[in-house]
Amino acid sequence: MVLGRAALSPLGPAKAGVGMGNRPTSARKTMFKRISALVLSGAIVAMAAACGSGSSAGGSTEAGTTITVSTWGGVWTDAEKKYFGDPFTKETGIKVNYQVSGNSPMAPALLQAQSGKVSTDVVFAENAQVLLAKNLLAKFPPSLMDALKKQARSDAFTDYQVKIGTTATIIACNPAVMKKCPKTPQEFWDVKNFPGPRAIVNQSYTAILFALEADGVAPADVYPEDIDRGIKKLEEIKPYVKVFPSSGAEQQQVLIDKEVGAAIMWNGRAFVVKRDNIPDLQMSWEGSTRSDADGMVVMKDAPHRDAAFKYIQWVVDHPKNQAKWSGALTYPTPTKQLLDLLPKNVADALPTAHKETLPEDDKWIEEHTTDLQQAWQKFLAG
Amino acid sequence: MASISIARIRAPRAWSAERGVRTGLLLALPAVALIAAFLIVPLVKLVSIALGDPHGFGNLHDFFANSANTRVIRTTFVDSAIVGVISVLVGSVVAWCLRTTRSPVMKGLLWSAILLPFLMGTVTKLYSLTVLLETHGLVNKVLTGIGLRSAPLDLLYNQFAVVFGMTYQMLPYAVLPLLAGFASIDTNLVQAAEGLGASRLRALANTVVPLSAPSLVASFTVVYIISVGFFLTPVLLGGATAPFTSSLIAQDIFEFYNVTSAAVSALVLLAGSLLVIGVTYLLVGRERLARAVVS
Repeated sequence: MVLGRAALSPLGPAKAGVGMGNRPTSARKTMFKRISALVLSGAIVAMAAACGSGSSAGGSTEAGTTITVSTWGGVWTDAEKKYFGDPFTKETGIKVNYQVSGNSPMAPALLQAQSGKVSTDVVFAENAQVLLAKNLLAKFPPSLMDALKKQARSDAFTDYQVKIGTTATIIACNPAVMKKCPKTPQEFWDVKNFPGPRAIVNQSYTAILFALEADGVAPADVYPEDIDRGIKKLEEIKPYVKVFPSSGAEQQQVLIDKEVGAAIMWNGRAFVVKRDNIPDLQMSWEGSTRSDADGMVVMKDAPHRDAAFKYIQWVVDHPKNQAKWSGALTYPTPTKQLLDLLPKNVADALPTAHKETLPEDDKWIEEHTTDLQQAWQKFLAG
Repeated sequence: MASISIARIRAPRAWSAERGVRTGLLLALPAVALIAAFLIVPLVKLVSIALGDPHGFGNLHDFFANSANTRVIRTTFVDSAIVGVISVLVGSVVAWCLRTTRSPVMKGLLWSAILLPFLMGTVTKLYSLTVLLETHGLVNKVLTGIGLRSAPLDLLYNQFAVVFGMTYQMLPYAVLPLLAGFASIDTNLVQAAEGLGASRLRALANTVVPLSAPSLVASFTVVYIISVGFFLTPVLLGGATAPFTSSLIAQDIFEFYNVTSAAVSALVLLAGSLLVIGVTYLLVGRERLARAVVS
């Protein structure tokens, strides 16, 4: 998408030339002059546009500005718009444009940075460590840091990121399909005593983590992950894994359609299935893991950096809106009052409510992306 | 007077059917600019990324050294070829029926069978196929219900599902060019052959098949070229363990943030497609190929 947009700019002059090229009557010289003038002016306009938006980096926060937020889409973004974006715009006049990238909100920002022109302001990053390692993030200003220290739990923010939407990966099981429900990674791998079709989230490091635990590694010793050992253990269970869902929606669908009975999946998606479709769904947090790197960040070269900080500060300053967003999705928000503001069933479903959940080592994951990529693609395709 | 006007008519600016080279170039300029902007620029960028950092041409070597990549590329090309062959076989029967039938009901049925899936949204089609093929889906319910099978068949999330789903979607692309090719065949030839004592099959094999061979090859090519780029169908019907090259590209970008690897995959895909187009070009010639593609 980003490459496509970059390729668009030369079209300006080309489009301008269309009307002229077909007119044979006027003298050729004039025609050449006119066309070259058009091409030239088109190029100048295109350049001016490119430079113009570039030079406004960090720019104004006044009403009428529009910030761009890269986000997950679906129920996530619906709640985001309803509880954050709309009231924020009403109060400040700054508009919010949500751009959906359902597999990875970070990918567009990374591609933009690579092509040299960042148009995203705020990113709902799935692993802020990746962006930080590439030096693409803006450090939060003191005012925002003060607000965070006052309003947010101390483990819910860094200098570059507000942690929001922490997601756990758990074992879910539908007793209508499985005779016995696996509760631990070992039981999930035990296809003899716990027969039935399975699904495992299509996420290399998470799948390997569960495999290592099933192979007897204690959760505390999982990192650094032994990729080869994990893949070997995964090969064992592969014939019994019917689907490796590539999206949250697919995780839900295979459970609801009874295509699988047990699934290693995201907690929020399991919660929604339990609430809306399968009331008997069992959720086990034993051996579970959570991504602590999920959160909102601001790009260093964001065209509206100050407005982006303002948006994040607004979210930080509105604990009740955070609680509503949390309640819609069962993903946590940084406010200190979160547990008091949420109904008990939602509070219990949050990854942060489960102390046994192992935090992912985001730095290790970021450093081993290539190894994980090769091992995982080989495993899936083989 | 008269001589003057003749001189005027013969002035260099007189109208002529043949335009100068410069005018021709000028007229072509918008199209050339479009192609440059949308084809050449992205292609150059693609090649420069694929053969750029970190190892230049070594990127290609790295790509083929990884057995996952070669397997996925092979799956893509083989599955697409299977889809191409089945589409042409089934499509030629449908197209020939359409060409020869006189019954308006039959014609209407065949046309709607081709055009309805052609005009339907991809997601709708894929979801319907999921509903049909899943373990507790319609097909398995019928099979187990009437006692043909005791346990449900594995129809979804495998190569069969991918080929089946793709063939269903590609049939119209096979039928339409074939129909154009069949239209130029005189159906009296079949009658004549039968009149000379040939069986129905023999008559078809000796008249229609040789005459339509270029159309068959061309429509196979069209189906094949579109098929190698499929993304949604392998993802939704095949699942992660039956990946196509485009799923690999998506995974490279969205999960592992490796644009180089994605670009190399795209380049290999492009090379494979160009190779097939080249072979078809040699086999059937430019005119037939263009006709098949345009119709």
